[in-house]
Amino acid sequence: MAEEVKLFGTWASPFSRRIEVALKLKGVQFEYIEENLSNKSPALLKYNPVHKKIPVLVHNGKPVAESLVILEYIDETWKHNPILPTDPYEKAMARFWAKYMDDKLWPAATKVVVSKGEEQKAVIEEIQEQLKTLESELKEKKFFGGESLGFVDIAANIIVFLLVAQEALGLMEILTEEKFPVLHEWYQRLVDDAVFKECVPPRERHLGFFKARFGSSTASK
Amino acid sequence: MADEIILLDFWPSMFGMRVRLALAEKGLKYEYRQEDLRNKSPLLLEMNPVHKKIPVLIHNGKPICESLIIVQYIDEVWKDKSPLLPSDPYQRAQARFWADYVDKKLYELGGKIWSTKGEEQETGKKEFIECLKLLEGELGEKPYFGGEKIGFVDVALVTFSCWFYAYETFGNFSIEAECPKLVAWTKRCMEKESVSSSLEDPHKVHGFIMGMRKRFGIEVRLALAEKGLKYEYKEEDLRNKSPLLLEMNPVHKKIPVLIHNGKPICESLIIVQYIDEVWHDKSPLLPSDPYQRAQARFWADYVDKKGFVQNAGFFFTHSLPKAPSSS
Repeated sequence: MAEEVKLFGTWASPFSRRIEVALKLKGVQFEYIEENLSNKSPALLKYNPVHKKIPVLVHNGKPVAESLVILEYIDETWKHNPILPTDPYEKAMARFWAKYMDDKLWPAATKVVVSKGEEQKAVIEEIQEQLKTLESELKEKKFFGGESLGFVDIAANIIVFLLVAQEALGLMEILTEEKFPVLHEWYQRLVDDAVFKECVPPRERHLGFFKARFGSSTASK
Repeated sequence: MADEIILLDFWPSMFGMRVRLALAEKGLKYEYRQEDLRNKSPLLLEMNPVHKKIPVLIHNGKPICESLIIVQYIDEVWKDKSPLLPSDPYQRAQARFWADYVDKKLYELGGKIWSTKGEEQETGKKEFIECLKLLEGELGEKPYFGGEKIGFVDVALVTFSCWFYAYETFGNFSIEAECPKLVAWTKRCMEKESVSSSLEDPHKVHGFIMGMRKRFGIEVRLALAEKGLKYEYKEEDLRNKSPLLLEMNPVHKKIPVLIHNGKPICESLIIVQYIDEVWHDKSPLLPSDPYQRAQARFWADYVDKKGFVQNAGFFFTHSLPKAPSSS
């Protein structure tokens, strides 16, 4: 029986890109539909009437929404190359840190691009506190998921977006090697990963996106 | 001179919905204001200083409180359209009796269904169904409690129907199977625009209750009870957090925290899933089908995002499930 997998997403959304990583890690064929968020398709509105947002995964006609919920669904449906640990405790930890990305890092990242001057500096400091927390969680591991990319690493793709924004807007360097030796190395590993790097927005376009949207904010160098 | 009508409400409240329904029946325009029950507006506190609760109707600056009292007020002021109470005094007394019965019984029993487990929940379910059956008997063969048209008792009761799905899900039973005539009546009511526009989506209500269970760590206690696990319960003073809490949840410093053989797990839904996975042989808490699991996670997340959990305080007019005495 043919499997039908569709992903409604947008090229610049980290939440959408997370799903691409998971599907590619599992070798799942899918149809990708790029949404125009200022003109959402009837299909999107039908598949996610509650939030009307991307990403939405539609598997054999049944929709799943919310990126972390989708990731778990993907992991439970296509069981090879697991992205979550099998041990319940490790799994609980993975869920905790993925949630941390969404609850803490993401709001701070969105704040950084719209704030200016002193306020922006304060947000950057807040982000660095969060990165410190993540650094102590990562410890000696190659990835948050251990030897290979896992749930938390995928959720951490927000950092990619943060750093592209930082560059586009001429902000001070956030993830410095001296402040975050461990995390800095992890980040290099993440963006070099064969699958992960296929699932980040094209760099020039992404830089342009931030400059156009949030540019001409006073940079703090 | 145009009437100025303001309704202070909180969306999941079936009591607030009664007022919305009455206003809709009378075709009245009003301003709807959502209250944040953990941060009550000065207006609410001024207009209902006695109970500090919603709903409150403010008519030309004057407040009326207590939902059934508000509905009667609306019926008396705008008496020319869609009367809700009968004109005969004896029948009015009967209508008031049954509306009061709904008030006294249904909310508390419903609360037992979603906030308890085991014997207490079973008793709650049984008594809840008994109430509905009694009401079903009162309805008899009439299309509505009010006779040919919806009346006071219909207004008092129908707003509970959008909570039925939640009760059924948490209580694992079917209200329609037990009280088919009553459910048929709810569907009949829903055909009316005034009713369907005043009641909330049952799935949204369900998500809200999930959030409340989460907010108070009930979800975790219920999960442990479901699995028949013995545990030590430690009540935290959130204004004076224990060193243990700060050590076990250094990132967020929040409850609930489960400590299993010395290892901490935080975030209530993560804890519930952990419990379900470790003690997977008994009473599964999450559905086994990945799609249904995704749906369950989706709705829990929905409640998180919408911040409804912050307003949970309103619904705890009676006590939370007691902490277990055994350890």
